[in-house]
Amino acid sequence: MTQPYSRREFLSASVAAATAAAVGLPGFSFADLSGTDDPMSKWKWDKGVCRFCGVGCGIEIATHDKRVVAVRGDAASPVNRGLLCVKGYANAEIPYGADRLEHPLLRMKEGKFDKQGEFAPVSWQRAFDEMERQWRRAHTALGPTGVGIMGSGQYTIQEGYAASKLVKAGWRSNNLDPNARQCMASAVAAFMQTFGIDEPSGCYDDIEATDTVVLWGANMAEMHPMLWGRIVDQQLRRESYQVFNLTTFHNRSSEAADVEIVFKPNTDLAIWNYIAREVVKRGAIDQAFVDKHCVFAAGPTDIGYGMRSGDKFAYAAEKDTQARETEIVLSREEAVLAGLDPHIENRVKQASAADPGKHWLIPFAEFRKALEPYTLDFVAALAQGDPDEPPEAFKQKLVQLADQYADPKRNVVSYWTMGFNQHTRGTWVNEQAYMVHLLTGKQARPGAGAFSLTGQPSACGTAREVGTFSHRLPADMMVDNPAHREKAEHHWNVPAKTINPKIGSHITKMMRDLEDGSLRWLWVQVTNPFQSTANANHWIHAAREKDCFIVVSDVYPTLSTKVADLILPSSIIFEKWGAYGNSERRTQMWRQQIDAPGEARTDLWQMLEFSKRFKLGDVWGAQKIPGLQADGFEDGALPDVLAAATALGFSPESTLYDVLFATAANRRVAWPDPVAGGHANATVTPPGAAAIDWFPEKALFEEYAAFGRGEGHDLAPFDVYFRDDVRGLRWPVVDGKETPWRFNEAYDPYVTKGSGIEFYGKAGKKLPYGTLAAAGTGEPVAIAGKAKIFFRPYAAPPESPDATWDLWLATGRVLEHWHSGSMTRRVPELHNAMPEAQLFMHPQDAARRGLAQGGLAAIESRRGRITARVELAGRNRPPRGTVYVPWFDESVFINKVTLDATCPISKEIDFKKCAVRVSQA
Amino acid sequence: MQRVLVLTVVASILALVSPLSADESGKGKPPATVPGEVATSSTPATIDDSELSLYPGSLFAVPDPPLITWNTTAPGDTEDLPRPYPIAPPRIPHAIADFLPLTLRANGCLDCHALDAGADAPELPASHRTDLRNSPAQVGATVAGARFLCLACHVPTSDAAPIRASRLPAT
Repeated sequence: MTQPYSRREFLSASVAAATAAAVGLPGFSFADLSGTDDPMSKWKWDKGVCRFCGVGCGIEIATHDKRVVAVRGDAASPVNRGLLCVKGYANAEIPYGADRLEHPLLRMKEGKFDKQGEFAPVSWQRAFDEMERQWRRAHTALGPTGVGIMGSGQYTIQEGYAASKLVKAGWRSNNLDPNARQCMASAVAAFMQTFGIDEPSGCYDDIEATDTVVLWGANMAEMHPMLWGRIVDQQLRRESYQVFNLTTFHNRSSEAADVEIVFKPNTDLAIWNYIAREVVKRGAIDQAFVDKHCVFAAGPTDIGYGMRSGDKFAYAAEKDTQARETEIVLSREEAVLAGLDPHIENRVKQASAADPGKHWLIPFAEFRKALEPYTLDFVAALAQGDPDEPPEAFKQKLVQLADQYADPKRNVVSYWTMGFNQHTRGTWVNEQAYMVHLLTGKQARPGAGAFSLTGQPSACGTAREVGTFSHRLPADMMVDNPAHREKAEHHWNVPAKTINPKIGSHITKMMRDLEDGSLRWLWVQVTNPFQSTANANHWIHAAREKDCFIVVSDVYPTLSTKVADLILPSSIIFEKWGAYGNSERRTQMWRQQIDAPGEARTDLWQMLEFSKRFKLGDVWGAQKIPGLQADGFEDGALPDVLAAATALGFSPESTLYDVLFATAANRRVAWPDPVAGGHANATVTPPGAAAIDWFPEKALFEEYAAFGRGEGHDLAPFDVYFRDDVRGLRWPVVDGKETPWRFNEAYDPYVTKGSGIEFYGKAGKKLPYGTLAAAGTGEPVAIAGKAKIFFRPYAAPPESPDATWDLWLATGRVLEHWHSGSMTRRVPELHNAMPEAQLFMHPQDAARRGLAQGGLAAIESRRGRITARVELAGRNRPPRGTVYVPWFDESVFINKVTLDATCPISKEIDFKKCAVRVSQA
Repeated sequence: MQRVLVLTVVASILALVSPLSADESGKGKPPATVPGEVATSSTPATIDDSELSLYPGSLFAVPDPPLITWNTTAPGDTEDLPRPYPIAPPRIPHAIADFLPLTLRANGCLDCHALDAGADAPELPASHRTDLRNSPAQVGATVAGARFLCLACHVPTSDAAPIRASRLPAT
């Protein structure tokens, strides 16, 4: 039996004084291994960063005899202070699965490429020949939008930058989008709309500085375990420290939380408005803060659900859900909130689906009026997620939650991850968090702020900061903004009007484009999208059956390599140089530690090498872009910029490699470089291929950093990150100093002196006033320096359980596996600890269907059917009416079942809710 | 059994088939002693996509996942499990269901593994009693708060065999 303890007992028991020497190496106790005969005494250590989640733990990597032999948590890292989760330790093992890809593999029949052929090993030369031939075929038929790259929040900063430059400046296609679209695009959209600039104001130090932590759809115990350890540490030290876990099912974070609030999917939107209403009602607004630093805003509500607008490609069973993209019948609660009669059928055309991000300013009176219906009784009845909980108990917890935010003496940090971001109103619910934090003045101060945690190691550093999205350019710039294009063209030394002003296809749309034939050439890098994209049956069939050519670069065979036409073997993290940026704006770098196996090459080398295949004459002549309409451009066309290129000193014979990458400035960044300290660089000297004499990872980093310096995104010089006394730096880094809290004069050099707080982001800072219902027609008002407090209403999901599909399905990750499991499932201990994805369900739901623990269940939706083993007593305990299936396991291919509806503003898929039925398989 | 065989063959192809000379392909490659790997001269020249990846079948198929049995060994009846390298966290060699959940007020692991718990179980080493964030020079008597949730590093075990062999020797 376990002993109940008071919280402090764990820590306050007498602290025995001892010397540091007795502890041994940080994080471990192995004094018995420290003898000079021990092989460990020969290990060579270097600092690095964990390959996995967005926390960005500092690690130390031990190498010996050309192998990574161990990793440990870096005691000097402020992120994790010497600790690592079990995945972190697996960094040492992920290069060594038996089936590493070591050679390019091409589908062949009788010595020729054949889409129906079997994979045969080919040379890199042969691989690139076919890749180029197929690129030209797609480009000739469809123009720049017929080709695209799916990238990653696991790209290094340099890889993402190279991809962005190749696709946007080189190919003049904006079809580059990362898997990070499915990870934090909603967070990005909300940052841009609220603050006019991306990424959090706070940092991880908030954990120790705050009084209350509220998790909103973030199971940090499994997904951000080393940050969760810091939170639990505070809970054990301070009785007054409070942790709330808002979730749609009981999970491991609930086990160490003070209050668990299980709510019904999508009703987080209503709970936020209840809290805001309480803040207003109780007079808990920080009036000085709001008057000085904020304005109120609203936008359209009839914005659809990010599905296709027509049902041409929909399966018969999907058509009813699909139809809600154009018109919905309001739910009872939506009707009440809109002031309509809930007893009649209220049909609403989704008229603003084409411009869902539009917004305008509103007076405070409109904001207050909008909150009025969100009373405790109404919201509690709508939001209660566990039918077995007494309603009064649920209500009481909502009041407790509101108390935390409304109490002016308590600092509060709100954390969220995929529960908010993967949400058909993801941008809205992110903005609601800022709504409450701004109303109460609990933002941009130590221990106070709404903080979006990222899932991937460089979702921030690469996907967001570099801008590997279909609408972005580096440093928060946009392809559809003429001034931003001009600036990027200037930095890149390419002619005016080289960059295509039409936003490209986001990652889910690229899948849809494959299906409808508008994308015929796709390169997938550092991601496994055919496993990770919802409604997967459509995409795997499209990939194999349509006229398209799919290249997948990876370190191991994945589900996506199964649908590929060409597979390219890549170097894993420690086989290359790189940089990642974590959730708290901390940029961290590492040196190459080991060589890649066989002919595997760095992703950067692959891009540089492929860029040699294109002459300016191939890509910078006039190009057709279906649907392009922009000032200064002929409709549907990009101009010929070859003459302008000649004026810049290029010729139509110049290659994209010469023009974009091996520029005179970049070639001056010489290799070897003293910062390497003897470490190799496989991009410079790939075994078996020609060497170069410049240092692409450093040159491209510096070229990229020039975009953000002086623009609030300042990065330190490359070499600084390798200094022994540096464990990453949080940007903006100005005069050698990092910025822990942005927008706060005490910490952020970009804040105007004397202003205290200044939300200085520049995007969307001139807007007209209107009402809740519509934008006004008045003159736009300048709101420089201010953040927007949005009113966003509750909205029902596009698909909810009914008599046929009677359960909610949520999906997500597990502690032991990273994303689709392609690395971690090859680590024996991790696989053994979490061998397969289970169907977590309530025992009564199982019993009603004749299912028992371990039984084989069929999980079926309008879109697909799979089977999984039932788990009734595991780490996740859904309430009656909800089931949960992790997505790491390709044999339990849950994304065949999920719905590809997205937040219409951010285009991020909602993986957390769709309707399914479960039966005995 | 058939599944294991297929996987082994694919692993062999991916790791061993090379269009290059042995000289070129051998550079930088870890010693290719993959447990269970059979290098034969009759290695097929092509691979069907169904054989790639961690599930040996068509991706259009819907396989039935096997039933997993979690470790049922009682604490005390166990032997240490091999680790991938000496400083990797030890796995939990016994059943844990009875000790869950770990909450702020009840940590079933510490009932036996705390210092002087009196159980015949490995006690928290000094590293685990050191608060590296706040007082790295002091070894305490109790677990460091940031390490309180044992399952973040120490994972349970089951009867599942590896899907893929690792090239690393266990220690």
